[in-house]
Amino acid sequence: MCIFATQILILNAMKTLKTPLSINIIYWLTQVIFGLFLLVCGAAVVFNIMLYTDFFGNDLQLHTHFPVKVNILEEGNLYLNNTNIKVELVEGITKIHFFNTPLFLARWIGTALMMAIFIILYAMFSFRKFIINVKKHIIFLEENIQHLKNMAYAILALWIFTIVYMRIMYQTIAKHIEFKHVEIVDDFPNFAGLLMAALFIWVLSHIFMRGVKLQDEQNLTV
Amino acid sequence: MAVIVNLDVVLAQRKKSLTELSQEVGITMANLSILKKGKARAIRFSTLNAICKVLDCQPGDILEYKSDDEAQG
Repeated sequence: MCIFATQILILNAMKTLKTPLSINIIYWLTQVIFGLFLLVCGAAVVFNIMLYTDFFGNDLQLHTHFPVKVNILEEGNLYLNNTNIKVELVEGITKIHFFNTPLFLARWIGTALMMAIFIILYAMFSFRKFIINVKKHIIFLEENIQHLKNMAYAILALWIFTIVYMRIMYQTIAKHIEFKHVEIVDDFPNFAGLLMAALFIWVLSHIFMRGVKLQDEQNLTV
Repeated sequence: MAVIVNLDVVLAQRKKSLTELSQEVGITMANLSILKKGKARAIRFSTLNAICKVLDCQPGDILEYKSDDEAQG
């Protein structure tokens, strides 16, 4: 109904408005990061093909995130104000390195990695489309709401995926490892930042929904 | 919507085209077209004032209320 009026408004906006520097910076950063991420995706696909075709053989060393926090059972010394204070590292987040990674484990990690990368790629793809529209001053559009929702769902999916992956990793691998000077703590990182980002973007999409309605009213007021 | 815009009727009575009205009132053809087709959500008093001045008519000549049943029938 309001497509014609919206188009006129957009064209007028494109003629008169100047894109702010911040939007330009975000636009170019997004373009560069998205391009680099496409390369990462390609590399992940190639890596998985190599894993499934047994290209690496037994000579494969992988490292991945350790799913839970660890305490280093070694005391250190802190010299402060001529006093010696005993300290130790606790609740550290670390990575685990496998020597001669078993193939089934490498395939499992490789597949999980690829899935995570593709979820991130989808979120970035949606953000890229959104920022392109914003740069063109096409802001309050149904299309942008969908891009924001897609981003929110992708980040939420990534959060759920990460939580599940970490728990599976803990149950299958981390729980059965023994170290001499490291204590494994049964405390998972919660990645609350991801969840908060997803919720924030989801709320933003609803604000944009209201914006679209107001824009529609404005366009159809003569 | 129950409020009907009779701009085309008044224009025909005054023997004026939409383009002429657009030039005299200073409103874009796109906006006048939205108004004429009854797709407008709202009309500013300034717009109504300008149209009435140019067409020498009352707001009631341009806008008419009909109940939804009457409008459909």
